[in-house]
Amino acid sequence: MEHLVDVKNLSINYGPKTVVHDVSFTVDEGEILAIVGESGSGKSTILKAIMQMPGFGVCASKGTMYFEDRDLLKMTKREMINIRGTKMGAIFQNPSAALNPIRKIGIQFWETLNSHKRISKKAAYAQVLSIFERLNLKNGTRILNAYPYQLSGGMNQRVAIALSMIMAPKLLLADEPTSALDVTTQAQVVDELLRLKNEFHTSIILVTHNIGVAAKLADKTMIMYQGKVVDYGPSQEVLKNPQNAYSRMLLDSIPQIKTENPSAPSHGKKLLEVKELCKTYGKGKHTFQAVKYVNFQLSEGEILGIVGESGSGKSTIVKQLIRLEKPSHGSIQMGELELSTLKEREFSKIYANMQMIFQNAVGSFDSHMKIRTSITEAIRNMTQLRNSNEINALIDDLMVKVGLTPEMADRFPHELSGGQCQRAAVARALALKPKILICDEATSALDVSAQAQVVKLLQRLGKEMNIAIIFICHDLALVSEICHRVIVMKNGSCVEAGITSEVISNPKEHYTRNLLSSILTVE
Amino acid sequence: MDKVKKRFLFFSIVSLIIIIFSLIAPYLTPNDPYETNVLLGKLAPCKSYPFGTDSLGRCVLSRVMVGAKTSIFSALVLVFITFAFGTLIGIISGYFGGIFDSILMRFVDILLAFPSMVLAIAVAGILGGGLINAMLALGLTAWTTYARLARSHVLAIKEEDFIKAAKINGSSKTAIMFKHLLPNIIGPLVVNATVQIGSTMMGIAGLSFLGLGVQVPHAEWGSMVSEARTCFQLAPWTVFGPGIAIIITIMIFNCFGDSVQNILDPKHKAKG
Repeated sequence: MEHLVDVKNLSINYGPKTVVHDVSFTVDEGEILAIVGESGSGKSTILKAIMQMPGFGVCASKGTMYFEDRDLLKMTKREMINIRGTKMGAIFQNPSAALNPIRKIGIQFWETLNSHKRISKKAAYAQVLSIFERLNLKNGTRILNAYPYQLSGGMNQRVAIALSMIMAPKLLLADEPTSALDVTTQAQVVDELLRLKNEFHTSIILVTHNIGVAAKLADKTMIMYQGKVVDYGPSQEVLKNPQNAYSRMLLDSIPQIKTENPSAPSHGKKLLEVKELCKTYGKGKHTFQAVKYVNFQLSEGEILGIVGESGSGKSTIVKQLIRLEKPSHGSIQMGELELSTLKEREFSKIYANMQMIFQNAVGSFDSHMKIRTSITEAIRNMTQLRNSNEINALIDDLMVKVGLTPEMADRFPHELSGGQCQRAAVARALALKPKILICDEATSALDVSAQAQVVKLLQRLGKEMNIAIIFICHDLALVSEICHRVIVMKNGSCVEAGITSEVISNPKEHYTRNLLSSILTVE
Repeated sequence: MDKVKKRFLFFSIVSLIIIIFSLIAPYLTPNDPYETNVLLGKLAPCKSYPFGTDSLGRCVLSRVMVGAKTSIFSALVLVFITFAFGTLIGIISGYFGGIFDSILMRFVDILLAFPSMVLAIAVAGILGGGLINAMLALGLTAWTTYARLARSHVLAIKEEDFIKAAKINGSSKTAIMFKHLLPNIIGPLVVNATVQIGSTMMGIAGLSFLGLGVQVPHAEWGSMVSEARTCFQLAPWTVFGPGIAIIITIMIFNCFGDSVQNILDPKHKAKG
């Protein structure tokens, strides 16, 4: 046996459409191969083809796929079930999808073991605990007695990894295992995967769009673009010395931690002052304080970053600024106006000064309306413009400004890519000439290359039109690239705030240091 | 064109033909539907009376043709009104929520707690006979299903980003409800409406059969079956004529409702 997995000239179809063209790669025992690329590049499709699960709808139209010197494409269904059960394991982006939400974790492990060979619960638990120990999962008995919802997302993912390792598979297929996790939990799961390789000598095929994760883990890296392999080889070579123009572009798009930041614009007018802002949900005994006494200011033309893990309250802050949630306590001052006590009806005027773009760009447009109709609606609602020729001219102008063509405004949101749609959302926000633009994880759902473009656009527009931007993000590296000042949030409180370069180069709080050290870079 | 689209096209054409036919049928009747002739009573189907005659000697075919307009249009009008009213209530209730929503929905619960036909019989009995009263009686509970359906769909999508974006772009609450929410939830409501056409026809025919709907001698399928019941053993064709007309029409409208449901099914959309 030369290689554990040996794929040659593989082409894969969904129905009549070929989505992966002529892919070849090998994986040896104890080796990690990372497949990286934008969404839609066909990287997950390869995993689906290897698993040969009925119901995925993928079909290999050409080539060979050898696993332990046997062609997977020539196997019967029964043989394939056997191989999937004992020699391959799989983990997915959403760990809770792999675990039954209404059964204790211990029972689920026992079931898996019992379906292969008869085993008592006690013996099964002992076996599982030993795996937990080797994977450095502490409090094994507590985990076995817990339901999946009682554990965090990262913990669930680690349990799912342990579950997939219980039959000691030779090959683990991991589809975006860290994409749904925070940076700190991501770091834990990455460590766990490394331990698998070292402890169990398991081979892993890892699909990810996070090149940092690939750089940390993989022995070999394959970069895909539009169903074709553009670069393949040892990670060191591929990521340090990209041969191909696309790979170079992709690698350049990755945000890097920067200690030298764009200097803040010379002190502009103060736009917004937030004092002791709080948000409490629930009543009586069952209250939850999502935001606790947060203070900050925002000046003209400034980019303010708010970073933190999910659940740290960063979105809740801006939702209160723009009255998608009513503040429970504290003041928000915009010039002379106090926003926190403003009536809903009066607040609609504020929207001309303050606009927001959302994480899910496609979802922020009504799917029944063309982009132009949505933007027209905003213009008619908020400005004095009534003449439809003038409005259309303004929209065409805006579309060009955000780097799209005027013709794209006449499409439906789902006919644009995520990045294009996010630019259209920026165009819609700019149509009202706001002074403040709030970006709630506006680039998090985008591929690195699209993210880099949108971020550049925001930076340019901020400078040209003197707009203040509040940039919410969980990626500290990205924040360090573009933000003048930064606020670090944890559990609803602001733990650190200041000029970005100072916070990055000299973090005072343990939590900030932790966030910084969790960032995976290519170097 | 795939099977689902073909089915939809076929049943929409057939439904349209039935509706058009019911409009022009009164001018095509072979005999006067209201002319009684005791001498020709309970005549078996023959050349001049293809469906026979009833106990008063009226042509059954002519009466079925004239009755089509009453039966079909009263059902369509009733479905449309309950659909519009129920959807409006559902959207408002779902969008505003709070105490208004709670009160409205408890009221809906009360109405849903009664068996709808029994309630309709009671209401029609109190209001007295007549087509309008029968429609009122049926409409009293029929709108609740639309309200429930519209509310639940509004609850599901009102937290989505495009609704927030519409708010931030200065859309008024009315604009959000009718320009953004309504087009996004209308699909399942239309399906429900088309499926309801059949059962509404059945309801009106049922009330007429009990003597609470259309009054004699006005022709309506339900009341015709009711009238003919007494001489069923002597002249079964008097029941068969309107009875078969009811069955066929309801079946066609139900199939139409099914095909609308299939064509609006997101799974089918994704494929197409």
